Amino acid sequence: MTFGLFKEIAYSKVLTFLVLYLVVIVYETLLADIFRLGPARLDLGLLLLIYVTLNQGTKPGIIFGFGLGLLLDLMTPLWLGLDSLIKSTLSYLMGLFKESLFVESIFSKLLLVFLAVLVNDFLRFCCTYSFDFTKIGPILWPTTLLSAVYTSGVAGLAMFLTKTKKPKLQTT
Amino acid sequence: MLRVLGPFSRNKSNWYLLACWALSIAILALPRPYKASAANLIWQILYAPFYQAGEKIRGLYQVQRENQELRKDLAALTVENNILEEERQENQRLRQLLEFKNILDFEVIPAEVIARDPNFRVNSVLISAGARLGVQRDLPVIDIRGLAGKVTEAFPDYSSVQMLFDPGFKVSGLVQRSRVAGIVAWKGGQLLELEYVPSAADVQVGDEIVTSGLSRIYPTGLKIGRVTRVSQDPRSLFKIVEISPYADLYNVEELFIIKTFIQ
Repeated sequence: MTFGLFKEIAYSKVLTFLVLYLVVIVYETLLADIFRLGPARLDLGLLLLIYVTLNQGTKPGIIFGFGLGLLLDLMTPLWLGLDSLIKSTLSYLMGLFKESLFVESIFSKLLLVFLAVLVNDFLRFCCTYSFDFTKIGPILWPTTLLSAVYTSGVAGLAMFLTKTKKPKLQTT
Repeated sequence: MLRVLGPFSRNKSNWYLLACWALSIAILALPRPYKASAANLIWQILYAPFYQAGEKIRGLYQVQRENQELRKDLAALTVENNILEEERQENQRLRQLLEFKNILDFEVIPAEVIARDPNFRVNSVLISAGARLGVQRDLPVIDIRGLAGKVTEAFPDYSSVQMLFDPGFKVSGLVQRSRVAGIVAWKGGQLLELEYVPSAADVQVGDEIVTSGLSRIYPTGLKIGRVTRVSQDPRSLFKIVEISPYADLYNVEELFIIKTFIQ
């Protein structure tokens, strides 16, 4: 009985992850350029990673991040494994953030998204450019910073639109 | 071992993270060819179908936009054509009044370039239209941009065309703006020259050169090229007028033979 329930939960998680991966593939192949605003790009994969980590927990987040990273690494096969390393680490850090800080407010979540985009790109550029900050600097500004602002903005909009009102307590 | 690790081992997330790190680093450490072939294989399965679909959608969108542009151009050209038709008829009436010869109509015979001299030593090409389609010797040949040459020999199913870049090619040309006449000939390379232009003649860079209609081969007003340089040799009575032809003579694939009917 318990094993069946465990299997059911596991399957539902796997299914959710697969659907989210499919969303990321479709976005990266068909929609990323449409949603691009000048140098700023919407990091949908990272948004989904944050969503999974905050809603389903750190462990599923780490696994999802690992898979997501591998999926994105396919576009740059030379660095296959790098994004999975970064995304799983990010998910772990977000888990810590979630446990130690108050992340219920929209602003702290937006800050989390903003920082996640910055850290993700920073770590990636540090590895790909061998910590050569003369090269990393011009990419971080304006591309990464604007992308972080843009992604946070979209995240804020999504949170605002999906916010459910708490039911008022009935008093007699 | 677990006691040594202490509080770290109690949090399962840490173990998940370590496992992911280990896997990621193992993948990163794989030799490049393995990574490339594995990534390529998975990419083909996961991404390629979406990329192909995206390309098709983008292609359709592009075609739709081009179609819209072409329709707009077509509408503008239709209006222009109507005006020109009016003017042609008026011109015909006036010519009849003056008892001039009338160019009543013309027919364009499309043809593909089927052979060319790869070294461009003698600049002539063979085209896929011949005498069976009505092609005759000395008919003018154009591409979509302007004059390209003339038919030098018409065989039953193909014809030989002498191109503008042939040393023996000459055509009577006219500066469209100032009506200054000269002889257009190949200068070398990808340039033509308007020869025998008096040094006092009004020719400027950017002027359009068209056929003058002074020969019996070419109708009046066929575009030849644009003036790219005008200079003066102090020892000569004539100007040096260089022309860049409109027709893409080295890469042309389709040509049109103009068959005119003169009354």
